[in-house]
Amino acid sequence: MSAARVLVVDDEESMRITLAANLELEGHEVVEAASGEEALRKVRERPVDVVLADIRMPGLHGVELHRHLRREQPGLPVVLMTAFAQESLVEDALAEGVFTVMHKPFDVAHLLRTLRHAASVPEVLVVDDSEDVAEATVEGLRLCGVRAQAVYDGDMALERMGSGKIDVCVVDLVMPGVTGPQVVERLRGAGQPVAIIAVSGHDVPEMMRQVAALGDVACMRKPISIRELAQVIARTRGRALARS
Amino acid sequence: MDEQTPGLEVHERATVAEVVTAVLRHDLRNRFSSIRNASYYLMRQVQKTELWKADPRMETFFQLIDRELVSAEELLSASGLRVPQEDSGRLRLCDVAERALAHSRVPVSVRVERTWQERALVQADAERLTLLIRCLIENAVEAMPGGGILGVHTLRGEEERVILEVTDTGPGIPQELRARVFEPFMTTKPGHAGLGLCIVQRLALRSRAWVELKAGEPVGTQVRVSFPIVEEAGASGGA
Repeated sequence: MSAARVLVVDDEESMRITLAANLELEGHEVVEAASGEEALRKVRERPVDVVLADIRMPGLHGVELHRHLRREQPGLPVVLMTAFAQESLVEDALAEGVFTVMHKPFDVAHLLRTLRHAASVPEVLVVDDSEDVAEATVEGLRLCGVRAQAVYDGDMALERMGSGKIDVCVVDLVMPGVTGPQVVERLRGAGQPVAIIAVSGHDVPEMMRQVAALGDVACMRKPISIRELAQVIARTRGRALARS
Repeated sequence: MDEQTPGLEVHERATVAEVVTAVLRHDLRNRFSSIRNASYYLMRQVQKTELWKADPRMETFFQLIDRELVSAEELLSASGLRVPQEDSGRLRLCDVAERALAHSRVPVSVRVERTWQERALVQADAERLTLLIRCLIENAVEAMPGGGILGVHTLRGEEERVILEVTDTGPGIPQELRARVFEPFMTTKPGHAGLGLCIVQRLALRSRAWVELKAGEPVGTQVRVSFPIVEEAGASGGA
């Protein structure tokens, strides 16, 4: 993914023009909109690869804009921005499949990387030895608007990672054969830029510690709520990129 | 007019202050963002020119802009006026008042009168309670540029409450303004931001306390903060 067509939506002109300047400098094509309504019109006129929108805007706000876009253009990555430290809308947005939420003021280089990453439309890989659990998780994520696929063991996971489409891996820790921690270790060893969310159904503090020691791993306990998982994925996507 | 009514209005004002603060922060963050974006763009463009190599200050200054904006943002986030949660420590109000007094700058023209009639414990965070008392002391001192008497007292209130009273012998606050003193940006002193009592109000909420302001007797202003007393709980606690 090199140059993308980016729609920048913010009611603050100074924000719009400074973001556009930086994006254009990176070789992207920028479309500007001063409101959610204008953004919808522009997207209908001509599709874009990724949307960057402020949350708080008069009229149609960023989260509402994302809801419209999800219906009209499913799969279009949307990155939201907010200058509020505590924003109730953020939690909803994260659970509804926005790519991630950036908190202003952000590092511009980080934003540029995040948008480039979002525009490549990456997917989540769910690794669980229980097929039912894996498929149900994938289906739940899809309903939340998060692209995902399932595999049922560690070997399949490592193979699937080779496709280069995966940026987040949700790994069940307790699996026969290649265990969760081993999967994580191998992924890291292969230098794969992938964010890890470790899930465990049993009380396995030792394994959790093992995985946590590998660094930069989010841990969740079963039964996981899909809403929460979607939120963790979106947060991870905003963060993990800082390193790569 | 009932100046004793602490009820809903007090909380409403504090909530307004919270909203105003959040909106101010939001607007400032937006400004910071635009400046950061613009600076990053300019830096990238200047990097392509001879100037970048010729003058090392270019890089230094762009780093400086970024650093200053980051620290301004940190200040904004750290100033602590988030949704108030109740503080859980137990402190002796008069001890904290004594410490706050020791840390306040009181000019020699101001005489301090202190009495600790009530030595009960209150539920509070030491730092925040000190800040609350210092805000009141500073307000009182500033009301007496020509000198006067600063009073700091703890008294027994009704219904298991302990009262912190801070008084000054300044010109007092006109009756018509008294109801508005807890509003943010409300001040009778030129050059002041008018956040002192607004901050006091918010800090008081954390200790389930309420604040009232009256005309002093016979002159000046009297501010009272009424705290619920907490049990000694076997051990002395507090520290």
